[in-house]
Amino acid sequence: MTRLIRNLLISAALCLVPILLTENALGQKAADETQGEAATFSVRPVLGLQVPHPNAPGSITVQEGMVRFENTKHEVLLLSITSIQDLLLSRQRKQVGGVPMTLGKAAIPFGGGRAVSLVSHKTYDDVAIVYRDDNGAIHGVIFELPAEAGLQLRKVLVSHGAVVGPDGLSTQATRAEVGSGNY
Amino acid sequence: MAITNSRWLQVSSMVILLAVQSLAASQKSGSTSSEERPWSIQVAQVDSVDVNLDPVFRVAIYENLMAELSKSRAFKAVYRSGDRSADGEKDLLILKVTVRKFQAGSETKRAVTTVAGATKITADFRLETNAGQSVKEDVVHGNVRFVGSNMKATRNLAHGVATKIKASKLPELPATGMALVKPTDILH
Repeated sequence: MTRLIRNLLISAALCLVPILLTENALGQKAADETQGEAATFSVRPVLGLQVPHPNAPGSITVQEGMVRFENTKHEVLLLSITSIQDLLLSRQRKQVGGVPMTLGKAAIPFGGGRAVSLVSHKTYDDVAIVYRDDNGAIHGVIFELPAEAGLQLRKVLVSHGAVVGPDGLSTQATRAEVGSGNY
Repeated sequence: MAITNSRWLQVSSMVILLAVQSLAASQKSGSTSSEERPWSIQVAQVDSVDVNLDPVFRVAIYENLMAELSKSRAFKAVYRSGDRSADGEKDLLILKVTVRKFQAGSETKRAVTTVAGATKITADFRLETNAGQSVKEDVVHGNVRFVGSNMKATRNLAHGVATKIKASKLPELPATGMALVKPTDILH
């Protein structure tokens, strides 16, 4: 019985290692974003990005009336701030670790994986940038940023002249609506 | 020995010929030429009525609809809302999606309990012609019950809409020189 408990604790500890590593890495990114003059945000594209590698993470830089997204494959998306119709925010709580973590949790006996799920989540800001292209067509791009970075990105865009809806943040708890239009 | 070899050659060449023919036939039946897809579609902005829908989800539904409809290959072209290229398009259908119910789930609840925390979206969609005639109306559900992020519900919803539209029989195009008119236009 003692051996069983020991094994359970060891497997739970092994599962927590990637969580701690991930949280440290994300925390470092968030700290980088808040420091310095350059308005650069580390982001992970979720949906709507029209580049050959739409899932590759990258960074958003706001400068000289343009929003520039460049991913790790060096693919660039340039958006004029004047083309932005709205910027919508939503706070989501997601499980971290992806498939390896899910498999690890499934391997823990006696439902130990469920207990790990209780602590293996992280809060993110989902930011949807809605813009019109040269042809007038409406596009939406959704990025995932560390918590609070979404509001900072919004402030930076507003300070550069972007016209967006009322300030606020939609969370799962309150679901207070942000933005004016329907998309 | 030589005769056996030549027979084998004949048989194998016939088998290859048959395989090539069947492959070509299957490709012909699987692909849809642009002539068989007379309609184009324009996706309108997603609306919600009396629902506190997460605004990012509205954008996600719209983008997923664009992706799923393009993937379905049921239309000649798929246009975005506001696209000026669609202005001159005669054979254009307009897709309007209205979200009726939204239940924000929780990925953590799903991971811990398996049975609770489902994200559910219910939406009506209406496919209509340029003149406002309804072609297809239906209700679609997009749910995430067990595994996946909440955003996956928007993809499931868009996939449901695209599947139902693809399965539905679209009307024949009006004859050349005739235009579809609203019944109200006739009355006035």
